[in-house]
Amino acid sequence: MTSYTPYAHTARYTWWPALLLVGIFFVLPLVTLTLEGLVPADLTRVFTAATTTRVWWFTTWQALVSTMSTMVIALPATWLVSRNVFRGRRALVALLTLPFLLPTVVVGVAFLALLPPSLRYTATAVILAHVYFNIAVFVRVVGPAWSAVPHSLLHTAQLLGASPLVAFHTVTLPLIRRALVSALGLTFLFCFTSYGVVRILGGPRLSTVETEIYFRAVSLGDTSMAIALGIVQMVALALVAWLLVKLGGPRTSPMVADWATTSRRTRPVLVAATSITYAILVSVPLAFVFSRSFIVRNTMSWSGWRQVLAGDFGAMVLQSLEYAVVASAITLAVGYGVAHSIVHRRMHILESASAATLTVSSVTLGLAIIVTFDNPPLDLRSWWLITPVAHALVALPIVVRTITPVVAAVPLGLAHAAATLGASPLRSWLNVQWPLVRGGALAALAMSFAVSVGEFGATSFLTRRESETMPVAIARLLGRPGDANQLGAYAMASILIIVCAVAVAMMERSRVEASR
Amino acid sequence: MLELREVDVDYAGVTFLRGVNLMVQRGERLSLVGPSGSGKSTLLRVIAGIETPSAGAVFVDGRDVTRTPPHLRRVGMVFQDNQLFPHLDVAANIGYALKIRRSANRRETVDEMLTLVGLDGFEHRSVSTLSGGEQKRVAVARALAADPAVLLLDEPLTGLDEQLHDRLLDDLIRLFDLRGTTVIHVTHDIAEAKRLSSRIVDVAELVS
Repeated sequence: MTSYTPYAHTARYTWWPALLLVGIFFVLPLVTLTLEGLVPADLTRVFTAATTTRVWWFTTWQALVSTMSTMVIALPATWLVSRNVFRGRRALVALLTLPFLLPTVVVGVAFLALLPPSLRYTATAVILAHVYFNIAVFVRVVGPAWSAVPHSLLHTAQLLGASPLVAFHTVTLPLIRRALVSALGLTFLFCFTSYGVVRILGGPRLSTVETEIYFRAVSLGDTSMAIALGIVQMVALALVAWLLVKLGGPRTSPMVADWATTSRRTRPVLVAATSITYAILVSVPLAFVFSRSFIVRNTMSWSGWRQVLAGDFGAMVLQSLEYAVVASAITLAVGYGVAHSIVHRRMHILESASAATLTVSSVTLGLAIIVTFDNPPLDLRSWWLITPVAHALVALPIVVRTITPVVAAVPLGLAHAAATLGASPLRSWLNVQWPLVRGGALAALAMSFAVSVGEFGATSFLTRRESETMPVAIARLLGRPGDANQLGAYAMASILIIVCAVAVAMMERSRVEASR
Repeated sequence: MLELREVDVDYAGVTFLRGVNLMVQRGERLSLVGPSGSGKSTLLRVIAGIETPSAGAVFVDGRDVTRTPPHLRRVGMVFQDNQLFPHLDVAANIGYALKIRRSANRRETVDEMLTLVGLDGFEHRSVSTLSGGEQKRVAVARALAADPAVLLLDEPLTGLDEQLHDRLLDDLIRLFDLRGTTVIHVTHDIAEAKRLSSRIVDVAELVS
């Protein structure tokens, strides 16, 4: 007996576009990079040269300190939104998520605007920005697990003689351990591969492996060292990612994971005070970006916004938006195809395969693409699609992880019902499947748009002056003197904040719709 | 009208229905009975085309439809769990098949169906706000609106309270009498089968 599976036939092919995209623009460049970089002398230099040893040391210790600091700051917020039900909780979760979706350049810019001159370009500044950026990782990864711990279990433990602290340690902690380890691992990964924040806040003295790759390749022209660093970085990341998988990550995307709604214990004063504190913590750096976009040396000036809306910088805004539209369209189409194959042909191997692009930093990807496509017949550096394609590769794993559970949640029985009413597989997909997954697809679209518009690592290798995107332009303008440049950079950062806030709002809306 | 000829059904390599033969005449109402797990519902799914038998053939109006996909069979089905489209309102659920066929008198047919199943005024209600009995009526109306050659009912009244069960059964009988619908009905409730159908067949008898 064989069952009627209306989408199984198409699902055999819908992952092919992803295969092409990843094969040509990810695997091929990385193989080329590895082959070009496997020079023993260069690889030895990665570990022995004084500058690179300093870079590895800084990269590692700042990632460790950033991760632990993030946990300390983020856990109270996670407790707040996962163990308490209160008016405005959803808005607070969205607000806490916003920094994570902000381009790293913008987070760097926000702390540049916020911190006193004595703290700028220091390790403290870098760590503070990392904490700000990664609070969302704990809230989104640990929150759903924590919210699912029944209060009755804690009450039982307390009735058996456990103090609240002991109950937390013996009941809650074991139940959220997997999520906590995932959040720690992910945060470490993000801090270890930090690029935008360090480019803006590290100044000339501080460098992570990522910024060093860029500095070597672009400023010093030492491509062989950049490639060697990129290869070692890939190996290190693959190791961390493997560890993460081994220790067990969340099955669904943290952005769409369900929150249990059973947490009903409320402590109004504590909840209000904590909510307000976090709302201020998240909002203040962003407010500083907006204020610096029209205040310079204590005087108001609209020249930055004029430049952005009607002047020279307008082209960069349009360029970024154009790339983001193309990149998110590619990512959604390709990512949906992968999700379709995962769900309707049970090709679960694609879940891990599509996450592979996460194990390579976008800086290494950018470097690999320019190294591979720099010579005829594969001279694609000036091809306008190369930047959106790189953005699509960066966003693809996020989109696949967001859409797959949404597609899987539509019961096959609905397709059977549609078929007995005369609907062909295409009809049934258009009338039944698509309307039910549209919300999730829109959320994925919004996310990939936000990723593309703020992508900085690969883009800093791929764009040229005439096709500069906002993040690249911001980094360049901030390094130059002149009030107009500073105001323009902050105005563009403000636009990026608005775009990301809209993306977060769209995501939250689709989550609410999906939960109905 | 509908014929199963030497149909074998297996699952995970084990044949649990072998050599099933069944003939249903136009306008006839047949109830298939048998204990849980005897393969009654599976047989309905084979007739609908949701499952393909490992051997044998299914004929509708003399046409071999064994390899025909469900959407080309003109066999309607009311599922045990209704499978109403959650994103469509009552009227859109009932009119779904007519929309696909671009039927000119969709509106009139939907209105007629709503009246037949006693849901006048429910057109724009979301299906998720309906009671169990109301949802079942929508599922029946939706299947009937498609004007199928044969209608399959998979335990249509299971899970309803006794009062609602009896009322809905009366309504279904009245409806099928009125339209002369050919029905194959699966249940484990002999009393229900006796009231609805002119012929009752134990699945065990079908197996050769």
